[in-house]
Amino acid sequence: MEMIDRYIYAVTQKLPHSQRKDIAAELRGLIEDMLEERVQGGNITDKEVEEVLLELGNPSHLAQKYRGTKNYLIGPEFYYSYILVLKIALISTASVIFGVFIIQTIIDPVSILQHFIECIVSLVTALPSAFGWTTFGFAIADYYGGLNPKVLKTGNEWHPSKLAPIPDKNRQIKQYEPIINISVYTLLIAIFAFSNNYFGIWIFHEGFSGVVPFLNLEQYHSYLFLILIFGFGIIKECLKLVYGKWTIMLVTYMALVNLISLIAVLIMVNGPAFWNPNFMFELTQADLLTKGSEAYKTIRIIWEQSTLWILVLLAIGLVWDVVYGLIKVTKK
Amino acid sequence: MFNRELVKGSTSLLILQLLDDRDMYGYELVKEMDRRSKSHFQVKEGTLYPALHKLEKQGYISYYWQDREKGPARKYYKITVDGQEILKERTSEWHRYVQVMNNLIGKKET
Repeated sequence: MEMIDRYIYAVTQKLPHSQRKDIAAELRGLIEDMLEERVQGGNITDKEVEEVLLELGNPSHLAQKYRGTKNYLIGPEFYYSYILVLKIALISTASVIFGVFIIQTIIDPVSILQHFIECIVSLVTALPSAFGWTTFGFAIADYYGGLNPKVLKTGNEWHPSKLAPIPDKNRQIKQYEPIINISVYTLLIAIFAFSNNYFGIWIFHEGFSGVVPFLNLEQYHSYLFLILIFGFGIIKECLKLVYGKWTIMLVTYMALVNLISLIAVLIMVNGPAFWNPNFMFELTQADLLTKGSEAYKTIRIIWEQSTLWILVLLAIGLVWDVVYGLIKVTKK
Repeated sequence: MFNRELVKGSTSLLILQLLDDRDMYGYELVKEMDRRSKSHFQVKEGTLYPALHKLEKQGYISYYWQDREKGPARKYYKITVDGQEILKERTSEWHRYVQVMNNLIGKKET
């Protein structure tokens, strides 16, 4: 009987939310009538169920019939992926633009009006082009995908036994989580890539007068490392989107990605001149500290141990990431 | 059995005609069509149900759920006033069509 549930799920999943419940109920009634007619009061076995489902045909095709004929740019096969990618593209673009605006305003509050205008101009130009390119890409994919004889062929080879199981509610990954995370990572990458020289201690002498950077700005790989961390984050979020639910495979992949990123970070942090070598000197130069004072010693100790602590925190974070996944997988 | 495309075009006319006689649920329609056409006219369930949905969206039929003693509730379809009108139109259209087709292929309608 589980096969019937899977079949109904496969059909209704490709339909608009508003119609799902009704069509599911009706489809269930139909299948039961068809089964009843076949067995005439006898026992229903998997064989009969398969026969009935085969008669009804490929769930994608049935869903397509419910939805109507092809008078669309992006068809039902691609529609959900399209909306998903579109959301990611638009939210990421907008968050980068707003992020840049906020940073510019913090750095240079006097020109806020100009920054605001720039922000609006960027939004007006970037959002439609993000929308346009995404739509264009999917329209092309739909056009050629629709004509692809291979796609049609695999469509004909559909069989009830190939139906994917219905994901458990507790293990489902809400789609908006990875989307929000990807946007945040994109924003962080944009910020670090374009303004890593602001990543440090900010000095205010009657207004903003400079930054003592944490990173060695002469070494380009010091911010590559930050991009790498967030890049790996995006890879993980994409994995979550693809799987859509917590599984052992997903957690394994995430653990693998975490391990690789941790190793990459270790190699980079321990490489030559990753941090700003003149950090303490620059702090005294900026009149924030006097050499030899108690505060100087404390900050020096913190500064020298920071690498270790950052690595420890990162490792804890990455391990927790995997443990969290495992909890989700085993939760009933 | 007839050509699929030919059947497809006339499915909605047949549904409306059957529902004009009495309210029916989906599978009943399938069986009734089979019976009345003496199995010459078999509409696949996969075609009928989407067709019902389309008619419902167009407002030509409506539906209601009816509980059963055993098994899930059944969705009964019912022709609407609009549906009855369109049925009249379609029926006369069909007669004209058959006439024209017969003229074209050289036979008289019987």
